[in-house]
Amino acid sequence: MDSHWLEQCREGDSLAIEKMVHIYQNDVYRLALSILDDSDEAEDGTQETFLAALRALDSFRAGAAFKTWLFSITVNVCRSQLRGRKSRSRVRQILQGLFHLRSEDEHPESTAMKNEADAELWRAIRSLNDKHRIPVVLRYYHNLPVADIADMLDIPPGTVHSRLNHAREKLRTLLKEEQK
Amino acid sequence: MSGITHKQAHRYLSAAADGILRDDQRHLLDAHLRECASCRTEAEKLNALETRLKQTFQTRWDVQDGPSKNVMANIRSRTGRVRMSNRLKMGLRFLAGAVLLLVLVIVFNAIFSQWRKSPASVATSTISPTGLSTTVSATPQPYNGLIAFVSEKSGNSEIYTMHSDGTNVTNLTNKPSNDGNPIWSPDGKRIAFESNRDGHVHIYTMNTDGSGVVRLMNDNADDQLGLHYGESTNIWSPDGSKLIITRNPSKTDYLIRYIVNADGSGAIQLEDNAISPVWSQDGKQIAYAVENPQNTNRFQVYVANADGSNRHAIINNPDLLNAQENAGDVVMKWSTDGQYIYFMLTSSPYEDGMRWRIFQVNINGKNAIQLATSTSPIDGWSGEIPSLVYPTLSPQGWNWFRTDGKNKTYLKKWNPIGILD
Repeated sequence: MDSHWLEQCREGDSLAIEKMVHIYQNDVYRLALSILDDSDEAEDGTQETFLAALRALDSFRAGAAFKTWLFSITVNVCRSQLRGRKSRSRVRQILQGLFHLRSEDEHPESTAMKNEADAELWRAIRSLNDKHRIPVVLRYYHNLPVADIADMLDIPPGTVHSRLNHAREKLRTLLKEEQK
Repeated sequence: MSGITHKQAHRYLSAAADGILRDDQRHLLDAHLRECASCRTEAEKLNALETRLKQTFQTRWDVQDGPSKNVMANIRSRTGRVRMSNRLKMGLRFLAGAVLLLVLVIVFNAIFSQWRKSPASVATSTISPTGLSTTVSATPQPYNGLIAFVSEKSGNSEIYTMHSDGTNVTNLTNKPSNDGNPIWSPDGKRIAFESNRDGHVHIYTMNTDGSGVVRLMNDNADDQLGLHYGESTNIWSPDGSKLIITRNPSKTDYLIRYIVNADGSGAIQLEDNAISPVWSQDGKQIAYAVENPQNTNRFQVYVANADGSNRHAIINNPDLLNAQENAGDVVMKWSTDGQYIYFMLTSSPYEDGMRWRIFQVNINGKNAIQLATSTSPIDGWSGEIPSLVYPTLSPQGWNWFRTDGKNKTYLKKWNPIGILD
């Protein structure tokens, strides 16, 4: 995105903002979807990402990669949504405990996955915590290099590598356990 | 076997998976894999896991459509608010910059003026008359063709008068002490001023030729005519018979105001920390706000007779401030018919936020109405209901509004001093 265009977005030019959303909304949505795994929440995350980006455009350094910057905002927005989801989940668990309600399966992976092997891997991925799951998603779904992931998560590349390594080890262990 | 261990080979495999393996490490890894069957198996497993991860993710998410049209529509509907908030942020940043610059200028000026002063005057420079940062200061209005001003040309600050054409310069005080801050009485026959001639800073009045000097308070506390932000400079009552003076007993912001007769008799203390006192136009009453320095959430508006009697609060804070809100500056005025008090209150209702509001209240405390409210600065007002005009600051400049007490009308954007152009 050239600096002139960015300047127009900063000044609140509606056309420039629409162009920006149009160009990046698919990528931002895919990223949000891959972190949140829920299409409605991903749409909310996409909206919030663009609004947060518009509010923070002043802090964007000219010359930096705009898409990486936008993705880092997306990750932060999604993390915040995940935190909200965890709080809601805790409340729901308490209510279920109190009123003996049956819990609903939030992620019916068996219907989305083509086979049992995929479903088995998906269960293993879901068992990772966000700290390890998000780098895996960025690396293997979005094909991002470690350096970009580091920029987006605001952590050193070495930490990204160690988290990926840890995640792979954990996945392999979990898959072995399921096969037993 | 090549020169690396199995453990190193595993580390290199992991680095290769993440695309951070150096060329020299790759050569060593390749050489090791050619010879080590178990590490080749490890590499195949890692490769298989990576392939499965990619496939699993694609299976799960590639089949889903992109974002719906709602996303663009919702962003479009909310960009207006973002734009406004960005502009406000920009305006506040500009304002903060301007305030910082102003503070720097004042600090630099104070340091520079100290450096320029003679040793004798530096010794007494802590009192307010000598705190004047310029060597010459004039009262804004000439009386009887005379202008009063302060000069340090004799080595200490003295009050002079001269004709408006610059002739007949007369030193009225002519003392080794520091004298300053002259304020004319409404009839132009007397001048109130500050001086440390008796060891402490006191308020005095004198005739326009320097004769007939009267000290208003006779104890050893320091007094001042120094006024807080936005306060009226009309410390003299309209008939010139009384003055409102200020003392700061604890050298903090905790101020005490007195009404005192012009001959120094009959000093009456107002409520602690009475701020922004103003005389009614007929001089029969005063109005002032009271802020509790220990609890700035407590704010009241008082009206009293000119002799300090019949004091009563016409506004109490629960009407104006919420539980967390603190009162800031207050500017007060009387209506021309003496029936209403107008006041502007600055307060902080939430973290990092301020609000400016203008109120009108009947002097019996009834019919208090909020005439204007803004989360950006309101810089005073002019006129009274039914035509009160005030400017609010926006990132683009000052927006001017008129209110008749019920409806607000936008007048225009106008920067009379051009600071934001």
